[in-house]
Amino acid sequence: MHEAAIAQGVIDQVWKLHDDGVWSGKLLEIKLRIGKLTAVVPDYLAFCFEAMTQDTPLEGVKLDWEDVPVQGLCHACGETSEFEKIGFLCLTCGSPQVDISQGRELLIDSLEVADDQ
Amino acid sequence: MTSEKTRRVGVVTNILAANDRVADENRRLFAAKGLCVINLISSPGAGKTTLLEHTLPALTARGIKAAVIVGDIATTRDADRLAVHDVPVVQICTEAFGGSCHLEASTIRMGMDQIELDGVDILFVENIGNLVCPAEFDLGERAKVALLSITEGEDKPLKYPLAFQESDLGLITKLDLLPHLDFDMDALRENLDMVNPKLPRIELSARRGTEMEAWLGWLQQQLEASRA
Repeated sequence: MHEAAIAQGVIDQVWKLHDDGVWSGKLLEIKLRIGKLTAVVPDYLAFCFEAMTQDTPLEGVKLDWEDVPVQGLCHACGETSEFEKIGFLCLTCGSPQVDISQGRELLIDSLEVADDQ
Repeated sequence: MTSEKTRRVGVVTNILAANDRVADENRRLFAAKGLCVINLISSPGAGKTTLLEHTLPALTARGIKAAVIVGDIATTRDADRLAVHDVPVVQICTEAFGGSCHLEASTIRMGMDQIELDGVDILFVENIGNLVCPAEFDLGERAKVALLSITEGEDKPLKYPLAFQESDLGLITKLDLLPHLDFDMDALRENLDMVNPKLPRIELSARRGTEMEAWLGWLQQQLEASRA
């Protein structure tokens, strides 16, 4: 639902990185890392990104992403659990003293850039 | 002949960095003004406005000055309902910002410019009725409060886990309707435990005044902590 706002965030950050001198040349691909616990549907995000970059210098740039699984660290036993579904009790000892340590990521991981030679 | 050489540049940047920067600025601004900001999120019709209608006079009676920023996609109905309580209220019709489904840190900044905040202790943000998007955006608030009315069913936390994970308090509302509904409170408590066992909860009825003291006490604690 708010994927357009997230897509705008991607576009803004990519240009900020450009202005900061992090990349130059022709941008081919943006690789994201999207936590499974974010309220973001990557396919919608890619659709919004494509629509919003039409007729701009970012038109045709590929948006790719990697899902980041949900992990939690248990304070009772110290083990890390990887959760496939809702219900964040430690998978080792069953304790509810679990802090989600991974899965809330909403990151631009890397950019693929072509340098004209 | 031009040969194209490609390279991968690692950047690892937060996509919502722009919002988070404004949220950090808001946090500093709130601290400088001594404002305790509470962000209310829920699905439409969970009772955010009704809760505020009963909270505002109770705070005034305790000598606590409140103000409200109300977000809605359209109409000023909620702001009109709250304005009668003699506290500063501003409605942000998000229509003007593109019909968004959530409030962002910059929208809050615009809202702040439109109300008198001098002497205000608690600023409520009544977010747009939506359990998905508002959970994703930091406004610079001190605390997020997720409301869930018992008419919505026991399974809401499982369907919208992020809202209940990101919140600092869960308010179970419309408790006065319990005798009329086929609602399993124990199942709701278990579902909340599945999603966020550490979430403090208050089960209340704003209309009947049930457990409103607990809610007002929690607000008072937040206010004191924000100034400690």
